Amino acid sequence: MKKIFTLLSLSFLMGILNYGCRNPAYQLNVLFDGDVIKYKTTIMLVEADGAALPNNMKIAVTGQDAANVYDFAGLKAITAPNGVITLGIDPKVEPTTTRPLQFNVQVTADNYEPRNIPVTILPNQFSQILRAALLKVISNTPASAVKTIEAPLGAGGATTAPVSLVTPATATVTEVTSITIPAGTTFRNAAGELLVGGSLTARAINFDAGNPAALEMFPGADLSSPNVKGPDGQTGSAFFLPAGFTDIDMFVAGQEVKNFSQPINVGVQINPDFQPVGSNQDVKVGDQLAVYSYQNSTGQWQFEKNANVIRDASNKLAVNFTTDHLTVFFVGNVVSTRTCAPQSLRFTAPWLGSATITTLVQIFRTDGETLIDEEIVIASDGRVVPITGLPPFAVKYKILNASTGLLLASGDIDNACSNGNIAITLGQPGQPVQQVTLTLMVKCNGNFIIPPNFDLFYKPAGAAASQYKYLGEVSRGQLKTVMLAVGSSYDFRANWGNQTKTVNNKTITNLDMSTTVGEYDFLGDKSPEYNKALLLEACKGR
Amino acid sequence: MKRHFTSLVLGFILAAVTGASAQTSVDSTRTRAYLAAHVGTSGAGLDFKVAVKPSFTIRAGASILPFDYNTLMTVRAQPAKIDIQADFNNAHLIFDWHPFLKEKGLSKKAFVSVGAGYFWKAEGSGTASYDGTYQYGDISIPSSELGELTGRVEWNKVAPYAGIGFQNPFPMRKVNVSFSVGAFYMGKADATLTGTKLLVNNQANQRQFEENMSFYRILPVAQVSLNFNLF
Repeated sequence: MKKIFTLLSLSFLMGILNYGCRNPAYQLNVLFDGDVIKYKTTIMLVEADGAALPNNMKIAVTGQDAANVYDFAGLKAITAPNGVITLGIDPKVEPTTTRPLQFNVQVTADNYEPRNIPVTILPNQFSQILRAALLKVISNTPASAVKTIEAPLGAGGATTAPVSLVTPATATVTEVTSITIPAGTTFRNAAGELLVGGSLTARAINFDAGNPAALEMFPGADLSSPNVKGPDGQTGSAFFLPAGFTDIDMFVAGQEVKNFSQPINVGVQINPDFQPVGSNQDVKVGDQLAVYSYQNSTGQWQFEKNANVIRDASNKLAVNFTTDHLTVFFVGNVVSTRTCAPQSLRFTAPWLGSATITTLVQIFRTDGETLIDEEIVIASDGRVVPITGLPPFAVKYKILNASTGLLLASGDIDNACSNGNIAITLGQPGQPVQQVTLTLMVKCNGNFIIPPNFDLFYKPAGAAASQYKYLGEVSRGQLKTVMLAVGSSYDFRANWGNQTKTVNNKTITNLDMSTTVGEYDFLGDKSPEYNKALLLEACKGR
Repeated sequence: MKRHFTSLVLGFILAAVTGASAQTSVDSTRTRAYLAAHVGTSGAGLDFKVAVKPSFTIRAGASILPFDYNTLMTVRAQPAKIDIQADFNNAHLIFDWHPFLKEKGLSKKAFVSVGAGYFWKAEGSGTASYDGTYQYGDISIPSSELGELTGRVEWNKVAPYAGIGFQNPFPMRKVNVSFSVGAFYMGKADATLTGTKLLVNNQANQRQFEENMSFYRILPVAQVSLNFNLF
């Protein structure tokens, strides 16, 4: 009995003391969310004439919230690899309803018109895609015509005779801008200093306000602007409806002219199909239009004057005015949006399942023809997308498949800035849709991490680089989309910081294209060593 | 390591019992009562013991074990703050049986225990957070913005107990010492793992954490009691 007790006791003791406890962290793969930046904006730059973008683009961020702006990789130095600018907000900063985040992105390149793109980020507007066209100042495009002249200057830098400059009428830009500089005019730079030189270089670019392609060339890349000084002297947001706009630059001895000693005459021929706000009739002689000027350096529009529509010597509708400074001039209607509240698009598309679709949201005036806004929006069933910069009047909308142009939805919006949800039901295409899932699991130091969100572009395999289109945002390593088809091959491109990663001729073999990338896992079959170097760099500190 | 620990505990018990054996028993017919203060792996507390029969003792009491441990360590090559807190507070009722009262020496002092505890607190939590400033590109993110990973574990309220021990059944002295070793069976714990901010996406680890914590079903007890003879 005693031996049995002793044996049992010892067994009991040993059982307790040798009780196998597992490490609580055994096989736990702690997932670190690499998507540090929550508020993101992508700006897609294109060359206005479809050519390759210049290599020497410089990007600068200015404005009240510029200090909080980085690229998606958290780098302060903003770049535009392949024309894509990624902008992310410091995660410690959040926009509020009363204090949205605002900043300007300035893009400059030799021989190109500088661009100043205002960006506004609202609460819950975690991503947005803007587009802007870079215009080469020496070339015509289907929506713009340029004329440059040289005029001799006399002693003291004054014109010796009247100088006339008229932009050419082209097959697509039939209206022109005329400029007349009186004799004896002198020129000053932005500092007010008299410019003296042997000749004046004057350049005018006239835009076809009726051409939708001119939208991307409009100052700020959008017909809405948050920075408009109106006739009342107050500054706020406004929406522009251009009947015409023109960009005038002059240089003396290599310095840019900003002011004149006396007013110069400007005549802008206007789009004859322009319909003033509140009217369904085309513009006519005697109608009054507003003239605004734009300073690219500040991104501010300023009311200049009202001017009557006349019929000029070439029997075209035009607006004539005088000015003593140079800039971009706008002629048309400007509607204040200071009291506007942002709208949201609420998508319904059960046929999408959990996939996304890249759409083109087009906003038209009620004539259904005059395009006043066009945005790339990623839609999914139930998704609510804040949308800014709509005018305070009734408009029509169309939602298109951004790849095929297939109409998905259309309708009317009674008041486009009344702070509400615009319910949009996306129609199901006739053919079955394929929900292709691209999943990227990333291992850093042997542990899974959730890669930061990034934008993915695609084009048919082998197509020209200009054919790259926005596929969507890879969120938490996953993108499920109906834009791809099983059996088709594509070239994919993604940017991270100032680096670009392309995967060419990738065939979608099945609906689930998941893969794990890691130092000791799959590193791609095209350039594994390069991919490994990229991965190790990205994994530093994780 | 475990073998060393086992040897150490056994040696400790043997030495303690050898020391206790110097006591001698007196009147073995009357009921005796003790107030016992104990300390051990299950915490510190008090017991009221009644020897209703020479071979049979009932002890009722309570133990509390507050535990708080903070440290800095390296997790995934990064400095991490670890904060572990646990509370095991119980009231218990345990029956001790001396099967070898007629024996001499150490065997006479041996007893077997069974009982149960009611744990009004049987829970623990561990929190891990990054210690330092995280650098994302040019953005410096303080650890407070990175979030933390917290594992919480809660065991059953009622837990059966079994054990063995050594004590002098009929001590002559006013104060005597006893030792016991045993375990509460706590059952399978409810375990949750939650993350905040940049660690919020760790729900996928919940199942693995539950499985890992399912190995923690026993609360080992090794305690020494100081018994005060009441009458």
